[in-house]
Parts: sequence; C-alpha cells; structure tokens
Amino acid sequence: MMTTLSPSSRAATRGWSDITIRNLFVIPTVAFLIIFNVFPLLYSLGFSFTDFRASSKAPVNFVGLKNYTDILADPVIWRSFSTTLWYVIVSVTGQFVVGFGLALLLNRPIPGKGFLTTLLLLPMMLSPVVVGLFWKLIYDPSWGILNYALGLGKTAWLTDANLALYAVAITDIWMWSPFVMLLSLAGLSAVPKHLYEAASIDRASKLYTFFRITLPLVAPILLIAVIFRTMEAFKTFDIAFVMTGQPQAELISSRLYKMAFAQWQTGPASALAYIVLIMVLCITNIYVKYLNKAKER
Amino acid sequence: MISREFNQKYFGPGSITLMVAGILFLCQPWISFLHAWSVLVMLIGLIGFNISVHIPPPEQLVDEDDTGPVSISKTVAAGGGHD
Amino acid sequence: MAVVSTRSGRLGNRIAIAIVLVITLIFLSPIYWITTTAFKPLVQATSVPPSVLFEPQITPFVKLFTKRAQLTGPVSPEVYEAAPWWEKLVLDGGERLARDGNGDVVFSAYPDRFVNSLIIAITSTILAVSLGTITAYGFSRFRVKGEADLLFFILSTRMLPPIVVAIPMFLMYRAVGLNDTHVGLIILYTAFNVSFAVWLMKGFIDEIPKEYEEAALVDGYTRMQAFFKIVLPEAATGIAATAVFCFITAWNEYAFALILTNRRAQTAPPFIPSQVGTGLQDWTVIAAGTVLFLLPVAIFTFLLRNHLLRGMSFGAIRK
Repeated sequence: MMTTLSPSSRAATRGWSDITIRNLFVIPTVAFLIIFNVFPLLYSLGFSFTDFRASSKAPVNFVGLKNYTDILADPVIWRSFSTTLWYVIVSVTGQFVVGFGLALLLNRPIPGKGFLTTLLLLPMMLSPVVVGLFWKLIYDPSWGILNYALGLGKTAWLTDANLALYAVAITDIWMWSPFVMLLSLAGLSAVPKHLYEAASIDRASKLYTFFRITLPLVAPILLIAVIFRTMEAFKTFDIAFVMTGQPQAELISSRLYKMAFAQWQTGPASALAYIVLIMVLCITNIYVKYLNKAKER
Repeated sequence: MISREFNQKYFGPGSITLMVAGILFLCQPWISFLHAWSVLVMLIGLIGFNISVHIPPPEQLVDEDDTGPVSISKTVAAGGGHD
Repeated sequence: MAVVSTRSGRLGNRIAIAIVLVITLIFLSPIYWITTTAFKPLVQATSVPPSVLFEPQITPFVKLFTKRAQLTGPVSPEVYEAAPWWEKLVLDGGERLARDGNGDVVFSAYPDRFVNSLIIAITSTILAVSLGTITAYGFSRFRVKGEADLLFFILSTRMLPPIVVAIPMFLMYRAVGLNDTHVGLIILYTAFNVSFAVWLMKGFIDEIPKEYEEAALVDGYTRMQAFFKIVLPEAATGIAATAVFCFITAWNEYAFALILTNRRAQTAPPFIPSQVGTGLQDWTVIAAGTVLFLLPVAIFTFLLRNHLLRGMSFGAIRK
C-alpha cells in the first residue's frame, strides 16, 4: 500500500526507520476509521437488503432491492425529501444573503472590529440542539419575545404547518450566517488593494467594481461556503428535531430517525440511510474538489 | 479507456452534472418517474466522478524521479487525487 | 469600497458601521434573552408582555442542581429560619427541596450529565488530537502512496450524517454491550473528530519548515526525537486550536448521544431538551441549564478567534 520514502534517510540508520515511523503514524488512524466507520456502514448495507427489525427476534429474510423500491415509491418519504430540499434552499440562501451582506459591511476599517466579529461568530459555535431549544422559548406563541417585539399577536410559529419549516430555517440562518460571513471576509480581505485603486483611477462605478473585481475574486471561497452549508443543511437533524414535530416540516433525517428508532424498521431504514449517504457523498466529492482548488491558490 | 482530453472536457463535468441532477430528481416534488430513478442517476454520477478524478489531466506534470516528500497540491496537480 | 476619502464616502462608512452595530445587537439578542431568563423569577419568565426589567436572582441555578417538590401547605417559621439562604429562595418560590433519609439535599441529574459531557468530550479530544497529530505528521513529511485518496477518505468519514452511522453502531454496540457507556461515546466522538484533526494539523505541520528537523537529524537526533523535541513544540498553537475545536464538536454533539445513551452515560445535549416535557415547565431552570452549558463554548470561541477561519475550512483557507 505504501512504498518509497524521503531522502533524508541518514536518520534511518538510527532509531526506527522512516518507513516504520510513517506506518506507525498513519495506519492506526486509517484502521480506526475503517473499523468504526466503514465496517458499520458495510454492516448496514447488508441489512438494507433484508426485512430485519432490531426490536424482534423474527428470522431475517433477504428481500433484494425491495426496500429501495418501496422507499422510492413511498409518498411520505418523498415529501420529506422535497421538504428537505426546500429547507436547504431557504436556509442556505438566507445564510448567503445575510452572511455575505455582513461581510461587505464589515470590510472597512471599524474600531473594535476584531471584537465585533468574534461576537457575531458566537452563534455558530453553540450546540444546535440547545439553540433550537431556546429559540422555542423565543418563538412561543403566547409569551415569546419574537411575537411581542414584532407585534405579531399569537402567531404559532412552530405548530403552524406552513410556518414551522421557516421558523426552523430562520434559526439556522441565525446560527450559520456568521460562517458565510467569516469565509467571505477572508475572501474580501484577500482582494489586492491596487485593483480597487486602479478602478477608482478609471472612474469605474461602484457597481462595476463590485461585479468585475470583488465578486470574481471572492467567488471561489463563497462557493466553498455555500457547498459546505448545503451539505450540512441536507443533514440537519438536531435543530428541527427539537423544535417542531410538524409532519409537514419533517426533514429526511428526522424521518430516518423515526423509521430506525421509533418504528424499528431496521432493514428499510438502512436502505433509506444509504440513499441519504449517496446524496451526501455526492456533495462531499464536489466540496472536496473545490476545497483542494482553493488550497492550491 | 477514456482519453485525458475527453475526461477533462466532458466526462468530469458530466459526472458532476449527473450527481447534481440526481439530487434534484430525488428531491423534486412533481415527477415520480424521475424520483424513482434518481438514486441510480446519483450512483452513476458518483462512480463516474471517482473514475474521472483518477485520470490525470492532459498537460503532464508527473513527478519523474518519484522520490522525496510530495505535497498534496503537487499530487493533486499531477492528477493523483480528488481535484 | 476599500479606499474611501471623499465626504460622501465617510458618511457611507458611518452608515455602514451603524448598520453593523444594529445587526450585531439583533444577532446577540437571542443569547441575551436566554441569559436573562436564567436569572428571572419564574412568573416573570413567561409574563405577557415579556419583562425586560427584573430583579436578578440565582434561584433557577439552585433549582437546576436539586430535586424539588411542590409545597402543599405553608412552611413553619422554624423550618424557614433553619434553612440555608439558597433553600429559602426555593421556599419563596412555593417549592421545597427533596431530601433523602439522612436529611441531605437530593441532587438533580444535571450535574451528572454535565460531568458525563466533560469526561466524554475531554477524553475523546485527547485521543483524536493525539492520533490526528501523528497522522498529519506522517502525511506531511513522508511519501504515502494514494495520499490524496486517503486524505479524502479521512475527511469523508467526517461528512457522514450521524443518523446514518448511528443505525449500525446502535446494533453493534448493543451486541457488545457498549450502549449507554462512556467508552462507546468516546470511541465514536474520537472517530468523528480524528478526521478533522488530521486535516487541520496537516496544515499546521506543513507550515513548520522541514529544515528544522533536518538540522536536528544532522545533530544526531533520531526521527522520533526530532518529532517530539522539534515538531511538537513548534506545532503547539496548532495543537491547542485543534483541541479546542474537537472539544466543542464533542461537547455539542446530539444525535449519537440521543441514540446511544439514555441514563448512565447520557451527556447534557440530549438531557436538557428532555426536561422540557417533564412535569411543570420551568423555563428559568431550562435557561439556567442552557447558559451553564453554553458558557465554556463562549469562552473558547474568544480564545479561538484567530483560528476560527482555519478550523471552519478544515485548514484549507489560512489567510
């Protein structure tokens, strides 16, 4: 699996050889990840072709692709997928607009900028489940601060079938806009100053400068931020799970959780897990492609 | 085999398109035919993409003497990984 | 946008700063609200209109750590006088503290869950950072065949949705008796964090000039000595930043903890929401639990502020 080594092999004559050290350093981690990630996934791949139920001792039967075809024909699961996509679109767009907007505003000399930025970054470091919980307090229809502050009367944010998804998305936007802001700021500060100076000498309009200089140079980093948030949004579980039980707002992770651990349909749940896994792997591949591209710069 | 030029021009971008299309097919709420076949589309795109990243790009940059520590960016530039 | 010297430009700048300040206040208001709720008297936590002015008290924190019962009748003056000040706060609120046979106050489950969170997060952080650092060194300094593929594999394990991994893990842990144990969660969090640690540490180690070690090798150090005496001290800042990131991830994790623990090894994240539905909904107590839980993360965020960008982009963007 591994061959040649570095030329600084004078040390190889003393102590352990470089090959030994490299193997000692790299193999344990790879083995650890194979045992605790790859192996369990292969285990559940097996279950996805059976009618196994973890809650019963009934004999397990091989059912072939039936679980997969059943899932793709199930209207409830289909609706969960559509809801998830809509949630991803709303929440990532919101994070992009708020985060990039904030970065543009912050990209100027401001007294106490470092402190201000750190304060703004606080939400994304907090535990999603606890964030979901205290937003529940804020969203409360009768005594929540949000309805009172905005004068919305008794709007039932989390129990209204039409609003619940947006309420969760707003919380997610609050939490993760700072992430987009952080990456955008890095991109903006990397734009060479002389380009702006040249543009101002040419009397280029602000709009022109923005679309021709700023945006193209920030785009690669923005793309990374957006793909990463898209991937995370597809996986959303904690926030939505604690905030609302509305079936209309059920994301695919919550559906999967219910199938696996409330209804104990282990076989079909494993199949659904694999569909979600393929989807996430697709986005991961695209993400890493752009991540490595950004690294080379 | 897939030629390097073909890979860079069509095969690579094509598999990314397939992956994205598969995700959209899976999640769109309207056409059940597309939903039913979406997983296969994603899977083909995913496999295609992973074949594509292992084909080196047309302009050759392979490390000839094959010795010495190599950085990831060089490996990637030589087509050795997920670029 | 960048160089502003005209008067209209300066005015524009002022407006921008004003907008930023307003947005910052809006952003921080939820955190402000939950923090103040943790110090409110129960009636004021759910009063309409919401009360902004109140007399702060620490009753919610006393309640958070103890088991309580509703008072059935008035308390006799002797009992009230004999009670310590913190018990009086609870008695004032119309509840009494539950006591065991020896007359000692019975603690709630919160301290246990908090300690579980600490044990599991700290242990898994140490393991993940140790493994991650040596692996990052291996990738950084030696030629590894299929390096890009291995690094991709390592990162991709981090991207897996927790629920997807939790289904087989639950069955495997059930088979070997690791469900609801500290060890079980520590292993999982280590696996989850080690990939992140490898990517982040590789960036930090790549930045340490190879010449340092080569000089040490010429001086007669072995490779291992050079690693421990030259590389590790140079990478100390990176190791600390990586450790804090791993700690926060493990500290905040919810899905695995929800599925794989229920009592003995349960951490705080699945415990705090489970208190919402039980008995009397005392939001001040939930808020107090939340504030205590978020406090370490808030402190760490300030310590980490210069490394956030790097950590959040898996070491890809270094500025």
